[in-house]
Amino acid sequence: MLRATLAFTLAGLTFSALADTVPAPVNAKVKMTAGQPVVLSFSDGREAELKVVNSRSRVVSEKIEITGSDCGNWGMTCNYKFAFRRFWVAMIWTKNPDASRLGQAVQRAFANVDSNGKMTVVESSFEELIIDSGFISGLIPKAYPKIAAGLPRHQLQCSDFSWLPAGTKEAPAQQRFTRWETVDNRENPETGLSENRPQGGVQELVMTRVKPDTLEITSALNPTGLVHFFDLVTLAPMLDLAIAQPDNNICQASLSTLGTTEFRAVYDELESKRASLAIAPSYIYGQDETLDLISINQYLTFWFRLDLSNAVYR
Amino acid sequence: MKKLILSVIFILVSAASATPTSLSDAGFLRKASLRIRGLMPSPEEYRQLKALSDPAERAIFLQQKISEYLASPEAEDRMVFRLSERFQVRTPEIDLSTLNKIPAEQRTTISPGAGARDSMTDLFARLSRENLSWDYLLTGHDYNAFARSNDLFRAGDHMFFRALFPNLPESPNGTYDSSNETAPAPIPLKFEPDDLRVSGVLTTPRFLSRYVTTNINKNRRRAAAVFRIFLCDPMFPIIPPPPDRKSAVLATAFSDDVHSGMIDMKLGQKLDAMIKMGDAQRHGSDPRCMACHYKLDPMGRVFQNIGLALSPSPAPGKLTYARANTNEKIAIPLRGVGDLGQALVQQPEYVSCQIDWFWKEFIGSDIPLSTERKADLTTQFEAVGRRTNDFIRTLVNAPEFRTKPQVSETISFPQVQNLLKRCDTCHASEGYIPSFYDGRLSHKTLLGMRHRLNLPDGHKDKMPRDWMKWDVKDLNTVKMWLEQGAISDSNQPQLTPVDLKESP
Repeated sequence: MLRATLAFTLAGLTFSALADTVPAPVNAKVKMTAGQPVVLSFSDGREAELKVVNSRSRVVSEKIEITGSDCGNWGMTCNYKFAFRRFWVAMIWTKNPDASRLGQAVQRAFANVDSNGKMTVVESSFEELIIDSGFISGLIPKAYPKIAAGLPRHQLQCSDFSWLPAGTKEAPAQQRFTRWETVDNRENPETGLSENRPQGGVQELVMTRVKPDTLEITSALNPTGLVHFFDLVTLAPMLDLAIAQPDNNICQASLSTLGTTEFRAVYDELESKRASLAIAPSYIYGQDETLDLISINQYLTFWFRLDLSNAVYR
Repeated sequence: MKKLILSVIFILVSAASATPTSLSDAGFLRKASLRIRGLMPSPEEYRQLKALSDPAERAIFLQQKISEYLASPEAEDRMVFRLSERFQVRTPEIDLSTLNKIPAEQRTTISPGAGARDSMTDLFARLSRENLSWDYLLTGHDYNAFARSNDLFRAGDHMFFRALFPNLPESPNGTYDSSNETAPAPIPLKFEPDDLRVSGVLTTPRFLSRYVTTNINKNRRRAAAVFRIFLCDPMFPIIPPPPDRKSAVLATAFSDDVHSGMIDMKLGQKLDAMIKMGDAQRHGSDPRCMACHYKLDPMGRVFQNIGLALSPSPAPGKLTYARANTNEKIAIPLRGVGDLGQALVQQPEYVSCQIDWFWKEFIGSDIPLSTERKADLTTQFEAVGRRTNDFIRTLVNAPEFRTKPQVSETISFPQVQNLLKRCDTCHASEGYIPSFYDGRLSHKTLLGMRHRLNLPDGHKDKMPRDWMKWDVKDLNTVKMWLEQGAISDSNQPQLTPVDLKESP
């Protein structure tokens, strides 16, 4: 009720110099129905639809260092090999009186209202409702059978595996990791201070030996992530692992990625695919697991459950 | 009924024995209302009280008001705010623009925005709403999982609990309408009482996000928070805060992260080098470090499997500490975090710590709590089954509650901190003396400071220099602070009575 009242009030306010180009605040609604396109509709009649495009899969191998382990030795370097696809998700205008916006990603900004009731929108504050850093890999194919189809499993190749509880140079037959998480330096919302925080990961990750120097991830459960994690387990400066020991105690190890040059190169190369969003077919809710993957990262929550009473779209 | 009669008798006795230092009935009503629900009594309530001339009727009226206040939604909100502060998490946002439009005397709530809950604040509120045992903070095994999260950078309830409740919605379904304010109903999650994987507030995403763990920290910060909040063990680290942490207030507020200057530096820079140098090992064997780490490390292990999400597997650990009075070593094996909560509530230090907290919150830290009185309150805490509202009622009806506030004359570090900053203008460049402003001066420096401040005018070593033109009042404040033991930012005296016995 409060929000509706505010929206009504704001609509009567005077806009600043940008008033001619900025639509007034409106209510936005996202409708998600199985078998139907996902539609973002506005109270002024405009509409946008969710569209998704995927890149081809690419294989990369990145070096990581075992920077600490209370399970065994540390200091050695390994290679982490995986294949991934990149995807983009955006809200694309399908109904808009401004024809130049059709086929473009919806942009949103939040208006400021000064003490005199004058409303302003800063041009540079407009942001596209687009996800441009999504990945899918073969980490948890069971969870994403459609979008991970054909992607090989992740592999960890080390000349020395004595950082694991078995303590052997050769890979153990199997190793269970109760927690495998990426860590990055980001603001803690509870304190406002930047600190190293887990950003995403999986639980109950099991690696199985495929060669004396190679373990392969054969299962992993419960992917979680904040902003920058979809299902890759290496894309952060550091990894924090909780490792099951034979006596059921847990030990911990930390891994550092030694740059992600190869990954970044492939990532950038795939950027051109983004342009095809405008001509992509409408995404049908339930056609694959893309939205599940996005929702894990709460993107939709972020887009549409904020206080949108003074949001403007174009 | 028996409780009410006893309370009425008590109030009658208290009122009859009121002294100039004790509160009137109106003052009592005001204090009870503010302490329980954070609001002033309404003018109507004052009028009703004034209209009652019979002391017995007034006592009954006051008891009815206490019951009413304890049952109010504002008392829930107040509890949420109190515990948010105690756990040092972000408090629910208050919609001031709405609140300020309501005249103070007509406000029926302190926080129109506090209704937005998560599993942690919901647990805080339920302690008050359902008059739960205070132990439920640690032994609770059912939660309400809330879907709404306005924060992209925080793990929400659904993400956190989904590993154990796969039926929690994985993806949004249906319609989101920005004009619709109705939040989805929370989903109740129930664990078995002996489930080793959960432990009340300790297994909520906000607690774990506040006291974040990393590969170096290894859950010690979480353990330190548990020791501090539930056993009143200050766990103040010996490692100074980062050099850029100039505010002692900040350092106090976030004392748990003072290690961050060493271990949470930008990744990929000095961290690896530091580990290679063996600091981690030295940290684990230095006796000064081990004074805390022998307690932190074993407890931290029960959190090892918990990251952004609650783990399907419990991790073993140990509750280890030494009793303050007897030095008796406590070592309780834990099969998981669930055992930790159960073990903590059985510790006498836990009960003592909680009573201290209740006393401070409801009676006031200006009223001293004697050992005998504390023992008496411990008995009463147990007699009411440690239930939250029942114990608050006990405190509100305590004779000390009617005591008028006493002004503390102890000078705290924040009172002198900005004054000491003036010392830094010259001394900071000397290098061998740490910043006065930071308050981490050596014992020798503090003694030297006391000596030089008290030298006769004109002495070559007299501080502060004349040209600094200190206000006499400010100078006396600093001198008084030193004479009171130079209370540090962690509220510890830095000069002993023996030091102060010596003439400056």
